[in-house]
Amino acid sequence: MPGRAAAGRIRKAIALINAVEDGAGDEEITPTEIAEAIRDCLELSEVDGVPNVRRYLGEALDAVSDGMPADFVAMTLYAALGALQEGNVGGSLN
Amino acid sequence: MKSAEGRGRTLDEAVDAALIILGESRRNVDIKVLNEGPEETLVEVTVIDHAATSTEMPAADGKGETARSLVEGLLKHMGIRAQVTARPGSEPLTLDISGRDLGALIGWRGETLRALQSVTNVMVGKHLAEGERIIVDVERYRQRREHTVREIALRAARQVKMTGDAITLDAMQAFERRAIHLALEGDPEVTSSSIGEDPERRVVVGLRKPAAE
Repeated sequence: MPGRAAAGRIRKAIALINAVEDGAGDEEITPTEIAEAIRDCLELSEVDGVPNVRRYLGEALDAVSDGMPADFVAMTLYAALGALQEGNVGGSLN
Repeated sequence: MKSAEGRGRTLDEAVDAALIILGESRRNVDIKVLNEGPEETLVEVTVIDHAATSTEMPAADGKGETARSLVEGLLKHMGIRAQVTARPGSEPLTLDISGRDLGALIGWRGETLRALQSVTNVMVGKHLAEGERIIVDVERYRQRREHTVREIALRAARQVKMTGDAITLDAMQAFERRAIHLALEGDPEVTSSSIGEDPERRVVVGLRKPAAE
């Protein structure tokens, strides 16, 4: 299924942000790690196959660099995930 | 507000016992765990007064009302018919969404719910203090998940004590892992830690090593 790897990597980045927000308290997550997770998504060529995914990921990366609130970064990543899912209508990325 | 205490071997049994006393369903109550042990769980179950909640909140908390009306508007634009109420006395501020067929709003492993929470926090952000957040819950999904994973944690702890072998639980979200750590932190015999990377990060429950003398 095209997009599955990208969806997995976006979910990983979101999970890191959620771990910070929910204070699971079992690890220290830095903005650098979140940025790395987003860069991992951008490295996949499949993000170019669906409109807007690369743009949202780029915005999320900028948001991390600019120190924007975690929820803003998460929202932008959810937008990327949504765009990816819309680009794969008919298949499930779950 | 009507409330009752319930006891049982498990959290579910304790809640059910209190619900029988109150004659209420899980959907309309708030559950507080008073004591959770390997043998018995004690809970306090309080009936939520929806009417009081929706009329009192605007005057009581402007922030809560702002968030509530924003989420209500958002759901309306999404074509979802649901009632949004601010949970009274919740810290952090929690918005409860209730209605029929809201499964789609929860999504796969709570993903859509989580996205909705992020959007809500971004929208209400300027009304919130530094570090303050709003929790969004649909049909008490989050609360029920926390209770479930706490139950899993206690069961795992009992097994670890019996066998001495560590148990690795399923991959969980951060708020669920946190619920497990909190459930076991007071247990002198077992300890919990996490392994792996999100979103496949798992909690391991094992025997606590005796402190070096």
